[in-house]
Amino acid sequence: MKFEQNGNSPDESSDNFASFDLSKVRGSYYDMLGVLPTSTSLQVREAYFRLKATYTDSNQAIYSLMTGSDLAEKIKAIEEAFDVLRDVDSRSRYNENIGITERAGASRTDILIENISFPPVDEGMRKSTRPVKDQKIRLVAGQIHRDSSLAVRIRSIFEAAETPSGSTLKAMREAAFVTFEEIESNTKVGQDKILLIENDDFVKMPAAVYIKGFLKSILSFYGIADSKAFIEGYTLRVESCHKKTK
Amino acid sequence: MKQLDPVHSIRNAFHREFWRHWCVALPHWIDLDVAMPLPTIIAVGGGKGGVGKSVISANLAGKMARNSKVLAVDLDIGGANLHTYFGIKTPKLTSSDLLLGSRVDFSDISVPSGIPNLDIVCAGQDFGLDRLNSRSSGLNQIWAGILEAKSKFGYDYVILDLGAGTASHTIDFFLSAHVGIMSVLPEPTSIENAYSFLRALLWRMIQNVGARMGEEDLAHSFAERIFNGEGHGGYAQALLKMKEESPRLVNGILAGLSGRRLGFVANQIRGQSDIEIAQSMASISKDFFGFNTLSLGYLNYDDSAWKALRNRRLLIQDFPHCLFSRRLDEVLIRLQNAVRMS
Repeated sequence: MKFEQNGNSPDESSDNFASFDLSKVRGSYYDMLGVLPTSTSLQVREAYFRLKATYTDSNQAIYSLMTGSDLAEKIKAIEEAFDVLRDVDSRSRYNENIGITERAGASRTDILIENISFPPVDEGMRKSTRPVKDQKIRLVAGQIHRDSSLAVRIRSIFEAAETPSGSTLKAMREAAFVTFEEIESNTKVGQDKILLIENDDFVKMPAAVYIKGFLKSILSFYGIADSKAFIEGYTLRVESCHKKTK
Repeated sequence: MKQLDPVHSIRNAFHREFWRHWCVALPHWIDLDVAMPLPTIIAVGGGKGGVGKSVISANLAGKMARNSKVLAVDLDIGGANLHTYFGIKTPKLTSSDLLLGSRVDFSDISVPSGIPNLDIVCAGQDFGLDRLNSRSSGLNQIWAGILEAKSKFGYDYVILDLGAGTASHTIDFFLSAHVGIMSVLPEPTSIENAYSFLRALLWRMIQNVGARMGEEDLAHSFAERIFNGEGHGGYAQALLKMKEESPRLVNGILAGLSGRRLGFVANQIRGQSDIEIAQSMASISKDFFGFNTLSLGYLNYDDSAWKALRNRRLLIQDFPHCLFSRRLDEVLIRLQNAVRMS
């Protein structure tokens, strides 16, 4: 029950809630779990586990407020809500039923995060014994490969570049809708280094040989294999700048 | 002189956003001017005695006084002991004198606590109890003193140390707070009393909103129905179901619920499993009662608490680096975030 989000409250105006009809959420499974239609599957899952832990007999905090049958009722309702919302298909069907047209407000990064936490079965990730971080690398990079139109767009940005410069990388990053954190976790290149490269800030950069490696992994993250010419051109610019300053 | 928009002259963003919502659940005989700058009012309650209401009030006030001007008010009338935490004796004039109708002003009864920027108002030991339930002019003066603490005396914060139990004046003072702190121990007795305190709070809030909107009878019947039968699965849900009958009154009650925050502090924590109790109670109260809750954290069971008390010095002064004091810092940060204070 989220009263601070009711029709009279000042929270109504905040962007987060403006994208869907709140009256439809009230009394729905979303309300039951204390999440919003914009919440990611991970948030739904977290809410479910938190509620399950809260409404048990062994929880001291419930003492004197709810008895056995009330608790059982509550847990049943929570299970019912989670059963529908845990699955992407049944959740979208439910959204249609109660009249929430689309996953309003879910940004592209949300979708990426969902794919990371719940990889589709056909990827064969469920059986994987690799640590979570490795899964992340394959999935986000895989996102770009799977989405062929996105890959083509990134490719065209790369090929349109006349001189190798950081602005190309910036344009690619913006087209792919990825954050610095995502690039960092996938390429092991620090965010500060990515920023230096994107801004062509040669003076502050480390030696050219390091930049070579950074560029290689960033470009392969974007799905570009034949990046040799770009990298060599860029490292030449770095080297010449370093010579001048020394 | 430049004329300010009355609402915007209230400096604090929290007050500005929630003013109307906060106001609606105050006792109906309190008439407030929107232009009057308010202090941030923090009440410490919890239903049961001995859960650390006074120790939290005193030490929180002591910590807040480092950055702002604070007034701590002992409202445990008949069982006053807040002054002892600061090591001062009961002064000659206390809030009992107000209740007994002596010709004193609120400024007469506040005394310096020995900590810079922090004054306290003590309550008397035994007088005035019988006058509390009637709407005496003395009670009015206490209310006026609290609400005018900023405009007249320049206090940024007023901390109300409430007594145990669910007397109507205790609940009313708790409703006046922008943030009400519920102090609970990880024990069934304390938890039980905390929930009965919340029940009394919701009951009183419905009555107050009803009186303010001129619908006392309807409010009373709503409260009767919620607390006897219909609300067994959650008072909040029962309340929402009544929205069709009287949208105006229910919206008013919902506004009152959202216009103040209820923070839970778990006190005397001894083990890992106790830590989650504040979080758990906050989410249950939000769900069941519909309050706008938050978890403020926990305070460890600490021997320095009674050691400092025997020295009759403030805990955070006597043992500034003890576990209790450090946890209280965390509580204070969450509290300040809750009211978005600078």
